[in-house]
Amino acid sequence: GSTGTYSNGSAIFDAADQLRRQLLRAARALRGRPLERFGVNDVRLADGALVASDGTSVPLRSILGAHPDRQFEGRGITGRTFGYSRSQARGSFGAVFVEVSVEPVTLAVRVERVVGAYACGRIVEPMIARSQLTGALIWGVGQALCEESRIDGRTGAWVNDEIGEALIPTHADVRRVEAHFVEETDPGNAARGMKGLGEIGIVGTAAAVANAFFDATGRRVRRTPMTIEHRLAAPVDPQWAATRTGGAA
Amino acid sequence: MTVELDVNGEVHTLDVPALTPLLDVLRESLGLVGAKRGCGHGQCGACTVLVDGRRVLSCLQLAATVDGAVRTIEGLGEPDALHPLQQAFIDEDAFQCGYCTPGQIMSGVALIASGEATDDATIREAMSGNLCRCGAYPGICRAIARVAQETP
Repeated sequence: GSTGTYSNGSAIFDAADQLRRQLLRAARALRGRPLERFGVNDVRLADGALVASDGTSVPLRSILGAHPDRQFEGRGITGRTFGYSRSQARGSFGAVFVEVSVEPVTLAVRVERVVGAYACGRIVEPMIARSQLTGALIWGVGQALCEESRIDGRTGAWVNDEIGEALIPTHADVRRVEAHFVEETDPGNAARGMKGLGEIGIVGTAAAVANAFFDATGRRVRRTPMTIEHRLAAPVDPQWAATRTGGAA
Repeated sequence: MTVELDVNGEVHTLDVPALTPLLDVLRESLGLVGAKRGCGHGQCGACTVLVDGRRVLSCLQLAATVDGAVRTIEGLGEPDALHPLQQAFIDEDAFQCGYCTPGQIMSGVALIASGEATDDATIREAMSGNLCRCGAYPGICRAIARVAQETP
């Protein structure tokens, strides 16, 4: 998501850390002082036990049983990982490529393929993360080709305020859409390596569509959506025409 | 006026104003809120239900003129025995917010049953009456294609 995973996720990690710390301290008070030589980062909670890096396992039952009147509770506060770093970039980064086919006379555009590659830190749930990226790539196609809110200049009223006129991409508008993860670790990241990725898929995608259209036709459209009247009105760049064999549209 | 509707195998006799759309009867009178009012005028497909296996935009279909058995998402599969397309939607992550999902699934069921879900381009074209703002289209089409292949 945009911020939900890394902000809530960090709070969950914090709470779990505290819980492990409390349980570890309580475990050391057991007979035989198990786990005495391990620090909180050397143990983990697994299968109903506190398990050390060497495999030593102390059942939670034993720890809780030895402290019958005690409650173990970890608390994490969400939102602590917001804020800006002066020394490090903490955003997600990506690159997007678009392939279009253009009908030479009508300049009808079909987006054949959209491929984005993104470095989004630690990916917690790949399937959902990928869907967010591809969903946003589809938003970018919509931004490029059909989406706009039109206002009447005299009255300020929304002119296209229904779905039949505020167009968004349909199934048929979307062919191949792919999102790839570029693995990265971000040691200074306060959110345990997690980053927001809910929005980055849309970033630059409309530009990629416009660039692909230019590559196909030599026509530079500098507004979105690149509706048919704007595509037709854009002149063919003479330098583009000169680099093409077989002439331009 | 009195309207008799067979919905998910159960017959209901209701007294509703004559111009009541099927969508409103499903949601307000029968408590079947799976079908959604995305736009209210037949442009988004979120209200898609089946009447005798045909895809119908229930926001435009007057309840009084329904001529067949109605099937909604609630009539598809059981929580512990999902319809294959429901399971495929989960496996292919074919939804995000879920608002368009009942309509997508009902539409997909009818498309598969028609035998026309033959290739990706045809599926995409035939499903274009169901909009998805979250952009879950790739997963939706994968799910439909997969179930179409597995359906004799």
